[in-house]
Amino acid sequence: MNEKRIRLLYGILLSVSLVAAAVCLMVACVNIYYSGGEQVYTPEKVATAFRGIAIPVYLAVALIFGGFLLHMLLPHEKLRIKLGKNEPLILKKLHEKQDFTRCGDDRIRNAIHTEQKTRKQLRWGSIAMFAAGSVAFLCYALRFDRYQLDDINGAVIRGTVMLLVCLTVPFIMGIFATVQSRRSIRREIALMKLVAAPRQTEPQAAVKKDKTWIARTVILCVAVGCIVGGFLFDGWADVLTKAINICTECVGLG
Amino acid sequence: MKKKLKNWIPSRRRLMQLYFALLFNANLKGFVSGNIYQGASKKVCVPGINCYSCPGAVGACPLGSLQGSYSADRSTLFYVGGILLLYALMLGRMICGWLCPFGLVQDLTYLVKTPKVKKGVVTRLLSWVKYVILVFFVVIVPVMYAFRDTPLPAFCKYICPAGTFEGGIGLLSNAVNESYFSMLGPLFTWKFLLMVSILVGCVFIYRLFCRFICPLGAFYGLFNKLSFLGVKVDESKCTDCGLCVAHCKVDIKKVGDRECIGCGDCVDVCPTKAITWKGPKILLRANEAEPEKRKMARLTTRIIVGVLMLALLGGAIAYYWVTAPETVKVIAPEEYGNTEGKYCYGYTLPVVTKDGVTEQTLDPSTTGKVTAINFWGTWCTPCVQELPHFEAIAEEYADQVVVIAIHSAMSSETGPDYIAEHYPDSKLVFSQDTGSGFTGEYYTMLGGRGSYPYTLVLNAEGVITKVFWSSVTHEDLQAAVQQALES
Repeated sequence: MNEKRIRLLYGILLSVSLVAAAVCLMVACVNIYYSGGEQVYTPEKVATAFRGIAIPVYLAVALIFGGFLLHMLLPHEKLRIKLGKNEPLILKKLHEKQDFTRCGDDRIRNAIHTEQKTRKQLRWGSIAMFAAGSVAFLCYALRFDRYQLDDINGAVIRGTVMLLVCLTVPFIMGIFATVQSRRSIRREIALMKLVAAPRQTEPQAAVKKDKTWIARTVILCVAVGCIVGGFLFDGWADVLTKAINICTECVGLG
Repeated sequence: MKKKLKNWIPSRRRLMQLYFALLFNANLKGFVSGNIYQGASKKVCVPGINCYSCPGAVGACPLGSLQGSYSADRSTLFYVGGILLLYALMLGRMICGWLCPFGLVQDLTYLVKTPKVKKGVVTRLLSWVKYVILVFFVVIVPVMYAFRDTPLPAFCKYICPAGTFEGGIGLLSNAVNESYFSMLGPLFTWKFLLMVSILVGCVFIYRLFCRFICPLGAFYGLFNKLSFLGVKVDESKCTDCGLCVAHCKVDIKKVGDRECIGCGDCVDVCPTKAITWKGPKILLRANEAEPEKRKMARLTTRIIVGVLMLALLGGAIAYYWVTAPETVKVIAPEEYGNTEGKYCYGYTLPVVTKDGVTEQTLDPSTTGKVTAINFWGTWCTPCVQELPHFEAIAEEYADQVVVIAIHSAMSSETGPDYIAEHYPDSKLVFSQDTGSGFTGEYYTMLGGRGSYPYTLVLNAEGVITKVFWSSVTHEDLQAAVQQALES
């Protein structure tokens, strides 16, 4: 067996054992919770539950450390970077060299126009979907009466569900649009290679003036002003109060 | 073998991550004693995610402080917002790559040699999720509840795995905090499952939390192009080979964009040396000198900086070890204590009315009635939520029970203002620190370990009959009072 196969086999074995250990840990936790009783969790209950899942956890840990040893023994793996084709850049460079508007073949010209139009529609379509989803969610989330004190968990859960409902469809559409857009770029590259007309004048790169210093200065002044102002009016007191006391809910204890 | 051992030598970035993880958690004594640090350095937020309830933490978490600031005085929001802006402008997302302790945890888990999930269209789109989390969990929900005078750090409470890992597990793993087990329930179960999922996910996906979930990284990312330190591309040297983007493990489209964590891996990879560090000239001057001088200058600078950094870390650890407060030792007969079945320690508390602190004082252990002592704070969500239950009990058992609500020290929103606004005709007896720190002392005497709310119920003889380490329901409280009345 060559070293590549050993690495792959080890990787799969370790992945399976890690996922199994994590699942065992989670199942143990859920079991303790559902076993209930006057006190849901006690050190004794946790110790007993964790003893039950010791084998998969120890196995995963042993495999992790064994893996480091294995990688010491095996020849050093060379870093392989798969350089993907930067298709948008290739297309940009093709457009810099060739002018498709001067192409003699109408079919090629029209096909390139169509591809560019398709990509524009996909881009604006997905932006519109995300905007619509965001607006719908904000209309829901910014209603003050949805946040009642007697049902804080319910309000947050309902908000999260609404968030998923509003943004899942735009997300899937976004993936679809990206994939389609890439295909369109590939088609346009193929078409551009058929264009024989070279560009007569080289496009001049616009000289950008670096104006970041203005934004930096403004933000720096605002930040320092806020800190000094906040400090002088005892803004630090609440930060300190929160930091030196444990809000058990905030750290997930209950 | 020598070559292989060389590969295991940690990189400069890893050393810096370790250094800052130690510096932000320099209170090593806290890990031994199980107590959190309560000194003045917690006035300042650290740049990365580092839970302030971690026993070792010596600074405040910026995200927790930000969420808490909405319901506090307006100056707090300015103070925390200013600190966050300053960090973002200075370092951008380099904080994620070099300073964040939870980033280090994720980097270390990724070292485990398993097959990895590569970046692509889906991960690029998922990188927007952290902005959604920033808007909903860090802004909308906490702000909405702040309008109802209830602080709710929604991100900390429902999501933050760093809080569960450093704060929750950090406290639970010390035998001294065994009492905290009594408060674990559905919230802990949810957060534990989430934490395990994220940590295991980090083994297969590079920095899963930073790339898709962390709202702090989302905020810092907005300032990546403006930040003083980071990586930059010299367009005149760049050949658009794409090696930098292909080599990068996060979802960047180009070097230095909103996703770039400034790890600097691309600097070494670039064949034309078009990618360099950006920063003030004083930091980069060594590059411009002659090779020999440059070598010497670099070596000298590294030695000086290394010695200074080690001295700072050593000094910090020693300082926090020496200055960590000792537990309050109470000299009292054996039958007195802070556990169930013992006589409660006495203390003279000032009574606060809606008009301000009065001259009247009270000793909770000698009221002659059943007494409920509740330690609370206006900054603590469960404390504010459970206060109506105490009010109801005080009304229900008006002649038999005294309920004393002792406000935690040093909040800018003072107790009298809160009482006047929310409980103008309250039956509760309110007490609050007037600056001398006595409520904190009494809290410690009664066994408080820095967690709020904390409640004790005493019978008419002053014997402790029930201790609640977390928030209580009306039924719990009623049962405890009934038990005390019968004992």
